[in-house]
Amino acid sequence: MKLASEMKQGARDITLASRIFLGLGVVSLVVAVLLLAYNQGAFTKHIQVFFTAESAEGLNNGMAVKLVGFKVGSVESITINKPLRVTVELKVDANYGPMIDADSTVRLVREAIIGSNALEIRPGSGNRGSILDKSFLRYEREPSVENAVMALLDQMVPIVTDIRQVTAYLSAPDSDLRQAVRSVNRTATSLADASIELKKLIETTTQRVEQGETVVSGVFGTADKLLRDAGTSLALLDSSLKKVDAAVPVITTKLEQTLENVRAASEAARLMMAGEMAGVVAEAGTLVSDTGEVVRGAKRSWPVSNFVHPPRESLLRLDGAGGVTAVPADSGRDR
Amino acid sequence: MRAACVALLLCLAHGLAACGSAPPAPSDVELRRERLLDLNDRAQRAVARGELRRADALYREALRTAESFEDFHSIGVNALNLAAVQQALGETDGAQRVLERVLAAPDRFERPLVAQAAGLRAALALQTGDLDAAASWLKRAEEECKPPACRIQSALLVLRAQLALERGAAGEASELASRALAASRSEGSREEEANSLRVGGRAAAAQGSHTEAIAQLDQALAIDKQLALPYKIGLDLIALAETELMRGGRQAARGYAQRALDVSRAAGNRRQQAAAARILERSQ
Repeated sequence: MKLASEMKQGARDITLASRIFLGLGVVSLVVAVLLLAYNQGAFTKHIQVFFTAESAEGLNNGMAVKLVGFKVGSVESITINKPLRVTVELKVDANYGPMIDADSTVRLVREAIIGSNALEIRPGSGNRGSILDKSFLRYEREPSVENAVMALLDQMVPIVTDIRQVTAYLSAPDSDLRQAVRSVNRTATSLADASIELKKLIETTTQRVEQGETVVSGVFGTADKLLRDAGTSLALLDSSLKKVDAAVPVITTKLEQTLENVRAASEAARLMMAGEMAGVVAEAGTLVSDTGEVVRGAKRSWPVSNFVHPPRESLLRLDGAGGVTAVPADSGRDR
Repeated sequence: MRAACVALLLCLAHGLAACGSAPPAPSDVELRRERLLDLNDRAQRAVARGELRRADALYREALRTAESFEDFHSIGVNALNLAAVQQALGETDGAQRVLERVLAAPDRFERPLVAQAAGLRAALALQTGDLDAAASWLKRAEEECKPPACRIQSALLVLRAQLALERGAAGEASELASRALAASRSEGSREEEANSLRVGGRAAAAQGSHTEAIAQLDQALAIDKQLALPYKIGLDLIALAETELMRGGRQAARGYAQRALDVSRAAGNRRQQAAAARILERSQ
């Protein structure tokens, strides 16, 4: 009798316990669902914001919308319109509405180098107040490193062409400048010869005058001829200098253009190196370091650690002919 | 019973949590050691690819890392590796300086490492033609090399045979090469087997046994080709060309020298190119 009542009591306890367990399970499930819904923003008031883009490339439904690094919403829908424009609808937490300027811009950015894409709301001037429900914002794409490099290349190409043209112009044997320089050289040589002749003539004249000879007229004839030669040479020099004079401005202009292009390109390169590239390099360094950490951690964790053999130091064995062959250096440890 | 089940479940959960937990953060020494092993591994792969310049830089960094926390085993290993790579690059002065780290303080290192350092020093002295220094270092290497820890006996025998050959004792060189051949076969070292055959072949040629020399050199060439060692293939072809030249086979000598020139060009070994070019000139 006692046993039967104890069994009945036990069965009642079990029933009660299982009901409590079941009830707790259901309550936990409901709480979990509610928490999930809350996390997903089901109870948050949202406003709709739109923007249009030329292409939907890089845009996805559900993509995060960020404001100064905080997730404030997501992409609700992406639709294509008649004149081949893409309209994107964003669902933004209404609490953040007052913080977003009506003239803000939306930008497609990438989180780290291999991170996912996200939309970033960039602040505007603030003159037009905050956004309201169903506002339209302006969209712009972030210039990628590839585009920046291509732009730099585009700038470099005309510079290289200019330099090539100037070099070709300067080195061409028939160019005005080369001809003018040759003429100047020839004229200078002629003038030097004339100068020597004149010096001789003056010496002779001085001697003859001193000696009182009457052959001065012959000497004057020679002097006249020499002066005519000098006149011809000077005329040639004048025409050559005119050619040089005409050629130099062209060269100067071309050089100025080239230097200006070089300056613009170097400025663009400097900005790229200081801005995007520096960030990219820093991010790449961090990424490599982080990846190394992750791999190292994974290698040391169970069960991966059982399958990864610890690396061994290898020694290049002595080779009688001076070659190099690696063998494991497992011969004990240091003393 | 229920309590036992709960205890068992708790133990299981605890065990799983322990297995799944993050490993303890490595200490600074462990991190340095990991880096050291990584550098050594990368350098070894560079050697296998024939990128000796890269291997040189990596071993240099590994040596610097080992020195930073005074790991004498790693200092010895990486100093020997760096010296071997520099020897292969023809930078004998640099290799000698690196070996000084081991040879100047031998008590800090294991004997096999000291033996190898002395052996390498002897090889460098042979390379520079300093036969007395080579003999002295070789003696020290033989004294330090005690089997089974030291496994470079066949290489030391090959070096001794080369020394005898350089001194003009072709008979002694031939005998030493035979001993080296036997030792290398018992050690299972194919590289040293080919080295022994090459030195044996050169010794036989010096004694006038050209047919025997050609046979040994052909065997050495076959092994080196199996192992794909361009430097050794070049040495074999040059030795074959010289042997053919000795017995008056100018045509055959030219063929071998041309092949040696092609191999050394492909491998980028200028010293061998020059040697092959000299034989080509002599065989005209």
